[in-house]
Amino acid sequence: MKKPIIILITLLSFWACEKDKPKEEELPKDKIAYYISNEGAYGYGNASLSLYYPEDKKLINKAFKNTNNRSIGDVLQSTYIYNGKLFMMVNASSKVEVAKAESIEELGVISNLSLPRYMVAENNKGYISSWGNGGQIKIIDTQNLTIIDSVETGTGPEKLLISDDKLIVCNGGGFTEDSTISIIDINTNQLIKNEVIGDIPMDIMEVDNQIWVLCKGKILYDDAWNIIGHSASKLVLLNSDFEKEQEYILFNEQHPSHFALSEDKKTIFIGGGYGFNGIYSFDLNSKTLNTNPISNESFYGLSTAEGLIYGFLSPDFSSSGKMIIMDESGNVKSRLVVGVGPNGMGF
Amino acid sequence: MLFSFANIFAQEGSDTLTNIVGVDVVAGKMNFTSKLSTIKLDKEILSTKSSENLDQILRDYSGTNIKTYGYNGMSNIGMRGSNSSHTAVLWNGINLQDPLNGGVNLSLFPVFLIDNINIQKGGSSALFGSGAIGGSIHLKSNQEFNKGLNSTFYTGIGSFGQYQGGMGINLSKSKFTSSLKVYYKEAQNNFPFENTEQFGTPIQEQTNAQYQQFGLLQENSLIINKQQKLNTSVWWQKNSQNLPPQMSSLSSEKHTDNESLRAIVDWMYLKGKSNFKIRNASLFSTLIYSDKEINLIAKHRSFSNISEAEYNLNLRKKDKLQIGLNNTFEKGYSDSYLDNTQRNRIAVFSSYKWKPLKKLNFDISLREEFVENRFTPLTYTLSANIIDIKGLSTHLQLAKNYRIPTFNDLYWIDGMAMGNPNLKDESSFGEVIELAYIKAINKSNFRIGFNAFNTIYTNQIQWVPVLGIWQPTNNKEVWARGIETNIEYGLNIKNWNFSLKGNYNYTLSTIEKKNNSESDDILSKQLILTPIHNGNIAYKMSYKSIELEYLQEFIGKRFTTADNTEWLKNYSLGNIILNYSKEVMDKKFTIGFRFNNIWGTVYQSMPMYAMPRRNFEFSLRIWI
Repeated sequence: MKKPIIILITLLSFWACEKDKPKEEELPKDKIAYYISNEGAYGYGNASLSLYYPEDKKLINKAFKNTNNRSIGDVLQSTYIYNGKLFMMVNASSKVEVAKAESIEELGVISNLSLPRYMVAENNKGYISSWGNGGQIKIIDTQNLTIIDSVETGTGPEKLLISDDKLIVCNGGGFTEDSTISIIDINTNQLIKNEVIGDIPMDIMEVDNQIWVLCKGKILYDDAWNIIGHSASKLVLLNSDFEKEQEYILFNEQHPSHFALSEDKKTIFIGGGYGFNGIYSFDLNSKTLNTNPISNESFYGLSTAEGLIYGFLSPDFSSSGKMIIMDESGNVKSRLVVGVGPNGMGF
Repeated sequence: MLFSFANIFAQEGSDTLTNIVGVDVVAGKMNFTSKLSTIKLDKEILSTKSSENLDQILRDYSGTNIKTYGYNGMSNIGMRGSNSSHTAVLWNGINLQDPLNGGVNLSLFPVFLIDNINIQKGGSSALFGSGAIGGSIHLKSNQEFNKGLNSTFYTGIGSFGQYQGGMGINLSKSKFTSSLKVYYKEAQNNFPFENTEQFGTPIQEQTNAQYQQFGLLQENSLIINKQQKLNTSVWWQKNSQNLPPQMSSLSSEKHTDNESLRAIVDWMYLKGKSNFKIRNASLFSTLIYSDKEINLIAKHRSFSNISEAEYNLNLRKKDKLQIGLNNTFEKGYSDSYLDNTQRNRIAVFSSYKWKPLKKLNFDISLREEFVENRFTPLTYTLSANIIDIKGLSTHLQLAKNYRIPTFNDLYWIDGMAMGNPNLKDESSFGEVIELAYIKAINKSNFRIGFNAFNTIYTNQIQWVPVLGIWQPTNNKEVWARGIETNIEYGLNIKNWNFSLKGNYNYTLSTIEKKNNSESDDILSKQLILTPIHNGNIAYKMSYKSIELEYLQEFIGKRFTTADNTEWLKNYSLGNIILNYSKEVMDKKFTIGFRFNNIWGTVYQSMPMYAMPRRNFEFSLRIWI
């Protein structure tokens, strides 16, 4: 009687030792790469990094896991490349993973920041927007990967921009709402002011010395959570004092989360985010929005590079998303399967 | 449990007795369930498991997949390809599924407070109501009369700062019993593990995983006269638990405080071949979830009042009839609801057992429920049983089951998610065939069982992003089918007992219809976190009062994405249990030792939740 049992146990133990080895694919060297952040499903820790090499039109998924044999964490919000280093803002894991940008070999991790979102860097100092503690910018030393200072912002800081010696931060509201941008002096690491510009500032860019902010707007509810109206989404042009100089209404009842610049810097493409359909173009010369979308798909993330638009589809956050590559007229060049919940790319 | 072959022939519940003492509060409904797919754990077995919680017992003996969010963390069960809200957990016949979220945390049920556990695989909503779609777990107390005054104590100590203790006192007269049990358990859960998900794969100690549980159970039973009996039960429990970080995160400041109060009053009346039962249960539950990192404190409270009347009649040729009426009032409060929410549900149910031949019977059960201003679809179970023809028993069943949406599904609202008041009920329709063969030769017993099931779950509720807001929808359809096999062998030689029991389940549970917003790639793919292969074996040997048991559980690969592109690795765990019992002058004690994960397996039950390698538990229980 005992013999079969021992055999059975042994078999089960061997079975338990079976390894699921990831398929590794060698990363090209000396090639331009785009670093696609796949959020993964919240709570499952299955965020992933996809690399796209535009020259070869080659996509490599799970690049971080395949290289380092571990996952990135829970909700990869964004990527940022600086001085050969790849910084990965892992939102729900409250950490920033750092790897070599070319080989994706891990270099370290930055902890003691809460709910990181986006990053910019200059002079070996990185500025990371973080939702925790009421909203902060964590300032890091990009060489030794330590936090060197913190500056409080508005609620739910999102995208940020360095313009001369100022850091401008969109305060998107996080779990609540906000309508300001924070202006920070990067020489002194002091908050200069929080400037009200419009509901839910989400994205920011500088074009020909002009700073544009995308305010998402919001849905208005009564106490019973019935929808009673909308605050329109808009593009806000800032003046040299970082105040609202002009605003351009985009949509009265739709709320895009991202924008990106065309190759000739004459058009801003607007789209992306929960529940927003299509990609629209805003002409910077005429300051008008073309109401005919160049794409009708519901993208979660939106980026542009080298004359192409990259739209990211995250239909359900429980299965693989897609990266749609389009020309600037919206003609689809290719549709590629990436990781779960892709939201954008850094390069 | 390992010598439970006779159970499948025990088709007759104790309701056939003509003495009110033996009339069981839940036996009426159990008469109409399949015995072939029921696992019974009685008081004798559970008395050596005092230090364990329900999730551990189910992991060891049920052959089902228990999903655990970290060591000693929240646990739930999925049976026959269903998910966690599809298994009803009933205490003395009362469904404990939370009206807010439909879930039951199995780690909050200490075995010390429970005398009997029946694990019923397969849906039985017609008998037990909404939520009993994939299976049901029945927890029951024993009331024994004429046992005098006795008491029991237990204490336990385990790895990672685990301490526990409990005591019970029981007064048992000829017409009255009263018992009180109190229980306390705490653990640090600060086990070391190699964090393969962090830079440098550091060896680290689990953090923010401490918990405390405190419980009290008071029960009375009074025989009023030869026809009437009255039972009361009150169960209060308080749990305080930190929630550990996932392996890829560096820290967690999440915490839950949970408090529940459950009170049941039963009155039973026996006359001739019939009995009449009325019961009322009031269930209060509070859950406070906090996360200091994001300054979040969320409070949720629920109250249910369940009233049920049931009439059982034993007819000629042992036919049985049951009719009943259930009224369930539920009230929910949450920081994420606009206002207090409530609903009232009235259900009528009836079952009939027709026994045309000694070894052949047919069961039919029907239930119709009226929820607020609408009727739920009629649910039913039809089954045929052939019992013990030269050792072979067969059970065939068709069943339609249902689950009504939870308050969260209907009324949750915040800036990111919104309930859907127009949700339909989930329903399932399935067929089951169960076969069992038993053979006894001299001093050995052999049983082999085979079950095949096929179930379609329709209108499954799933939260998906709709126009920027997460909302529940009813568009999902899942097809679950599979086989379950089990084998038992027992041998008794003088003072030696040997037994071997094994379960193996093959379960395909695939998405057949999806929401429009979901990717086409998820169609025909296995449900996430549902293993295709799982099972367990238990080998037990005993000599006089020493028992040695070896348990091996195996859980197959579990997908973590709906398109099955990512998964958790399979794992297999071995545990050893050693018990020594001794009676000295009417006093009995049991010393128990449990060695968990003896092979030091590194595994994850749920994604990114670290689990410990080898660990130990000691326990001592005394009956005076």
